[in-house]
Amino acid sequence: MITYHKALKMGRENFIYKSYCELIITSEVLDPDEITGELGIRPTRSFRKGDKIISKYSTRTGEKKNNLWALKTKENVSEKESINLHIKELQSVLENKDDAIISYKEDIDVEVCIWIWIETDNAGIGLDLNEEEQTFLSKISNRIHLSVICKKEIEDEI
Amino acid sequence: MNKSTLKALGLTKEQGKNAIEALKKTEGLGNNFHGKIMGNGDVIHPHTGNWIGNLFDYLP
Repeated sequence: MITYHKALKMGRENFIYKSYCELIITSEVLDPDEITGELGIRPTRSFRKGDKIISKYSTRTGEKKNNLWALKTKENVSEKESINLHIKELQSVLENKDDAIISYKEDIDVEVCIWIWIETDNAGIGLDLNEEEQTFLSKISNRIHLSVICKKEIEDEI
Repeated sequence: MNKSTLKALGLTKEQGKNAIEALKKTEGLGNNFHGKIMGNGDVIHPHTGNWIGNLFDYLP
């Protein structure tokens, strides 16, 4: 693993990948506090249906359409094209919480999504997930979303 | 987001993709969400007409 600052000092010979994963639970009925209580885990962000949405760039305002509870893994900057450490972190944090997560996943009023976010100064990215990782992600989520942002440069944001 | 929308907003394709993905992630929107993008960056729900947010709030 390499930090962004180390990469800078090294003259950035190699392309870098900034990544994290977020477990996002959305529902119109399941309250974020209920999820926090059941899982015994504080979310990294959450909001409730009806909470105000405001903008620095628009005069309009809106309301959140659903409740959301999200848990984000630690952002990582690396020369490795991999999200495996994020899956390991989720596996560790969610150890023994399977039953609750699966009950959310199976609830028709709830969606559990794994959102994978990757920024790179490379032209693209190749990812590989082994069977155990696929099984874990499939077990705890209804949906996996992959956001890959290819940039000219990766800004120092962490 | 198509090229003409990016041009109208004065965004690069990297900025546009980053902003729309960040908006969708923040709100927990499905991949099948395709909002209407206004000239000031406002994103409107295509069916309800509800205001979802403004893309410029989600620029890196």
